[in-house]
Parts: sequence; C-alpha cells; structure tokens
Amino acid sequence: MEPSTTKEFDWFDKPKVRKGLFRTFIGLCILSIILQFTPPDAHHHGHFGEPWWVPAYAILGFAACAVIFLVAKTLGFVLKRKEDYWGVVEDETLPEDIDESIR
Amino acid sequence: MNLFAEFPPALILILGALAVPLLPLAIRRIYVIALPLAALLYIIALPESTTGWEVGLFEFTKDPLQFLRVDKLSKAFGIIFALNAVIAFIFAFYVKGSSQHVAALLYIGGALGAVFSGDLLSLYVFWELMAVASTIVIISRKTEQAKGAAFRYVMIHLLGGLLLLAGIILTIQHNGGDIRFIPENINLADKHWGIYFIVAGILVNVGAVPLGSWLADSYPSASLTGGLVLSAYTTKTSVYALLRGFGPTEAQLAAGDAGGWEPLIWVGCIMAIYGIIYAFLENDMLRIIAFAIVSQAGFMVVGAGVGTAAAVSGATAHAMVCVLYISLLWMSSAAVLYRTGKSKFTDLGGLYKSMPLTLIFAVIGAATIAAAPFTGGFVSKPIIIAESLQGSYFNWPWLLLEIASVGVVFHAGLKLPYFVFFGKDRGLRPKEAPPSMLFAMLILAILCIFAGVNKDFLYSLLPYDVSFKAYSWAKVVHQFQLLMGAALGFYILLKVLKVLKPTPTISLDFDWFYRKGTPLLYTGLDKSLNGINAFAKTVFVDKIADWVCRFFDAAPSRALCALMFPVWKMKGLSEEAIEDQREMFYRMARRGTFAIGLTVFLAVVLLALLSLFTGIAAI
Repeated sequence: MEPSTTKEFDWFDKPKVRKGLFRTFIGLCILSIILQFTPPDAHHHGHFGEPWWVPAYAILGFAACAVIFLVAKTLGFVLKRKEDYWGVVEDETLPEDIDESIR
Repeated sequence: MNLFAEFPPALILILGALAVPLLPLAIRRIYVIALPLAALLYIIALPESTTGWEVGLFEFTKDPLQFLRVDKLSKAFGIIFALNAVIAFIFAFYVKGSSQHVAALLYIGGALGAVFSGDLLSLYVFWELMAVASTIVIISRKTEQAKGAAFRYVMIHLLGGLLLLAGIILTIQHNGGDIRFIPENINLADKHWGIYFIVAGILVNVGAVPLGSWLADSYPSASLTGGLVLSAYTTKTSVYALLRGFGPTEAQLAAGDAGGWEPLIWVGCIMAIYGIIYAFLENDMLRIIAFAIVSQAGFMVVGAGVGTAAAVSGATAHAMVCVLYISLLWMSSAAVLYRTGKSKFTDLGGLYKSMPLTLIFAVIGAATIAAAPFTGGFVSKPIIIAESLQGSYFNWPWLLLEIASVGVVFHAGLKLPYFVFFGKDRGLRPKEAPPSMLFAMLILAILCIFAGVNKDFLYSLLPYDVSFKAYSWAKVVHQFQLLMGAALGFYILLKVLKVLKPTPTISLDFDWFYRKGTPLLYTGLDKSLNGINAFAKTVFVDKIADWVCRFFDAAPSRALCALMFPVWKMKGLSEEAIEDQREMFYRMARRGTFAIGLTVFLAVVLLALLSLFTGIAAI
C-alpha cells in the first residue's frame, strides 16, 4: 500500500476521544438502568417473576454474555484446531474477473 | 393483460440470464441490474390472489402444476428477493466475467420460482435449480477451497433435494393426488412419513443443526458477490417453505388457532444458539456472518414452529429485514476483503482510518442485526420472541432466543466491526471501497433504517395483520438495557479480562463427521471389498486354479507312471532307469506327444479297466 500524503484520519486513536467515548459508554449504561424507574409500563410483569424495579434486561444482557463466553470458551478447547487442519490454507485469492480499472 | 399478469416473475430472471453472455461488458453491467429491477416492479404490480401458468402435465395429480400463486406471503418474499438482487448486482458492478452472473440470475430465479409456485412439484423443480446454480456460484471463486466446499455443498443439497422429493411424492400419494402446497396438505395430524421427509429436506436447506454446516463452509468460500447472493436466498426460501407449510390453515385462522409444530421451535432455538457459539469461536469475518445467518434463520424457524398468524408474520418480517442487514454486513466485509485480500481478524484491524464509509455502513448493519431501536431488526425480531412465549410469561424457547439476541449483539454487532475496523492496527491502509459498492451499501443502510422507522409500511407487506406495538416505552427501554448489558459484557471481556484475542484457528463442526467419515468409509470399503477381492484372487485364481491346472497337467503322466511301474519292474530296470523313464513320460505328457504304440497300449488298458468295472457293476 502506498503511504498517503495527506494527514491520516485517526480520530479514534486520540486519547482524549477514547476517554470521551468511554465516559459516554458508561453514561449510557447507567442511563439504561435509570430508565427502568420511569413508570410508563402500567402492567409490569417480570418474565422471571422479579419486581418492577429490577433492570432484568440489563442483567440478562450481561449474564448472557458471560454464559456465552463460558460455554464457547469451554467448547473451544474441544473444537478449535489449527488453520491447516483441513489442508493447506490458501491465500485469499480473488476471482480473476475483477476489473482493475475500478479498483 | 391477463396473459401478462399470469407470467411467473422467475422467468424474467431465468430467461433473461440466457442473454447475459451475449452482451458486451458495458451493457451487461446495466442489464443485470435492470433484470431484477424489472422483476421487482412486476412483483409489486402483481395483484394478490392471482394464480396462473397452470399446466396439467401429469395424470396422477388432481390439480394442474401452478407456476404462479400470488398472495401476501409469496409477495413479501418475492419483493425482498428481487430488491436484494438489484442491490447485489449494483455491488457486483466490478465483476467482468459473465458466468457468475448467469449462475446468480438462475439461482435467484429459482428462489423466486420457489416462493411463487403454488404446488409441491414445481416447488421441487425450482428448489433443485437453486441447488445446481448455487453450486456454480461457489465454484466461481476458482480456488481449491471453493472446489472442495462446492463439492460438499452439492452433495448435501442433493441429499436434501432427494429427501424433499421423497416427502413430496409420499405426501401427494397420501393426499390422493392433491399437489397444492398449502398448510392443509402438510397435515401433521396424519403423522405420515411424507411430512417428515419434507421437513428434513427443508431443514437441510435452512441450515439446521447438524445438517447446516455446509453454510459456513461454502458461503465464505464463494466469490465475493457469490457469497453475497447466496447469503440471501437458500435459507430464506426454506424459511418461506416452512412458513407456508406450517402456518395456520384457513380453518385455524378462522378459529384464531395456530398451526406450527413444536419440534421446529426447538430446532430453531438450537440453530440460534449454535450460530452464536460458533461465531464466538470464529476468526474469519465472513464465516461469522455465515453463523449469524444460521442464528437468525433459527428465529424464523421458531416462528414457523409457533405457527400463529402473528408468528408467521413476524418471521416473514424478520426474513425481509434479515436479507437487508446480512447483505449489508456481507458487503462491508466483502469490500474489506476486496481491498485488503484478507478476511481474518488476526490479519485485519485499524481499517477505520482508510475505510471510514465502509465502517459506517457496517455499523448500521451491526445495529440492525442487534435490533437497536429505529432499525429494521427492532421491529421484526421482537415479534418472534414475543410469540415464542405462547401466552405465558416465561418459557425456555423465549430465554434461548433472548440469549441468542445478546449473542448476535456480541459477535456481529460488536466483535465484527471492532476487530476489522478498530482493534490492533496491522498497518493496512487500503483505499475506500469502490463507488458501486458504497452505493449498494448506502441503499441497504437506508432500507435498514427505513424499515425500523416506518414499521407500518413493513407490517403492511406481511401475510397477516400485525398488532405488535414495537415502540412501546417498555420495549425500547428493555432493548436499550439488553444492548448496553451486552456491550458492557463485551467491554469487560475485551479490555478488562483480555480474553477475546482472535486466534488463527478453525473450529470443528458437524461436517467433521462427513469430511472425516467419508474418507474413512472410502478406506473401509477399499480395505474390505478390495480385500475380499485380493483374497479371492489369491485363493481361487492363484492357488486353486493353479493347483487344478497342475493336477490335470500332471495327472496323465502320473497315471501312466503308476501303470507302467509294474511293467518296468518286471523288465528288471534299475532305479535310475525307472527314474529316467518317469522323466521321459512327464515330458511326453506335458507336450502331449506319446508314441503310437504306447497310446494303443494305454487305450487297451483303459478298455480292460472299463469292462472290468462294468462287469463288477453288473454283478
């Protein structure tokens, strides 16, 4: 690849931006919990029989991640193999019929 | 106008495909976009409850073959199929060759033919057309991997096709020659084998565990546009077939009852979970999307299994939206592969710096598959999840689908964009995707959001009326919480525990059994059958035949020697002389050259022996 002459777009690599994004992320997490306490759901009935103030979906989202991680990681020990398990790994050759002029 | 209105839209693509190789490149590029566009406009214009092209081909059927049946269900699938084809061919503007396009058009034509066919036999014909054409699409990548994958693909699809055909024949026979493809004819109460064969054949194509590993094996091995085209049709056509077969019958609809079949709910749940587990282990971006297809198809299979009018509508809506976001995700990944020549997370990273527009489109696709509010996924997937509860507040299918929803946020929504566009900067600075690819992604991104914002428009296309209130405050909050919970989980695993590092590995799948099993079977048959062959040769040809030959070769001389031995003794010959005589006899017997006198003598002896034996026998 030829090095670009103009200055590179690296917005997400700036420490300030990263910090800001992290704070926004944590802020949104907290906001999602706070929204549980807004009361427009008149006929609340928890799927797990939990009281109305429990942010069940936030817990579900987080817990499901943990479960998927644990199950997949465990299965990974059994199922993961080297890339050349089914034979030689080919280069990502592209079909010949690509129009170079468009690239 | 009647003749025109009865023309099956599939034929526009199938007949149109034949002209593709004849056209010069510049015209061909426009033509392949115009063809599905014409089909799309035609499908939109087709009036509902139209039937046509009825051909009374076979005497054993009660009804004629029906190549065109238009109702809301077939029209919904027809519209999204044709629309996706238009966008896919815009994306494929860069392709110079024509063979891929011909195969792709035949394949999409097959899919349109299948969803618009009104009977089981014409469904089967288009089903097999899809299998054959899609195999050609896969081979067109022209790598050894693609050839191997295409071979496995066609084998498993021929198996699926045969199961479907067997099921169709048994079902038609059971129904007394009624070939119409309607829920009434897929009657589970009868419990005959035909239905099970049909379901098995469809499940092969929908990518159900354990027969679905062809999907992640073949789609990423196809050419860039090949994989894009394939990702939309085979699984969705099968979803259509399940919804058509297991949706509510007229009588059930009138009574407000559900069709469906409970085992399908579990098949769908297993698919949904299987997809996310394998996507978690995967290192290749295209294979992650392939597993996402399986996972999302699982939701639709659940919809067919529940079988209420709302579930069928929800599954239809989700199939339509799924075509859009899977295509969008595939395009963004294919654009990365096109520019960098790499598709593995261990080779990619930091691409946002040089492909920012592709990143934006990938994120919109990721948000839609994650069912973020104001995207298509948010108004389609929750219908299926809500219907999976079947009136209760909790059941296992519901929980499994919610976990699968989180899983899809995790791998397709976060992991895929993160490791391709952010993650470790590998120093790759490719150019932004070509304009045709960006334009195709832009259309899809707009459609993904359009479907989410204008949910009533989406719902108006569905087979049954939907009263689902997607944008209730509670639902928005719950989904927001689910997304943030999943994102927090991802963040902790990635940055705090640092356990998400991609590894240059593959994961064994159910295809291990036939990829390892068939060589084993071959070796087994080779060893056993050829072993029997070799044994038979040694025993019968080499040993017994040889022995028999030698026996009959040596027998006359041995008999002669035995006869002559007393004569030689009487003549008083020495041991050496007898041995010489014996040698001479053996030589003469082998050559067949006996002296005349000796022959006469032997003949007399033989006659004497014969008369002696007959004399004894007479006594």
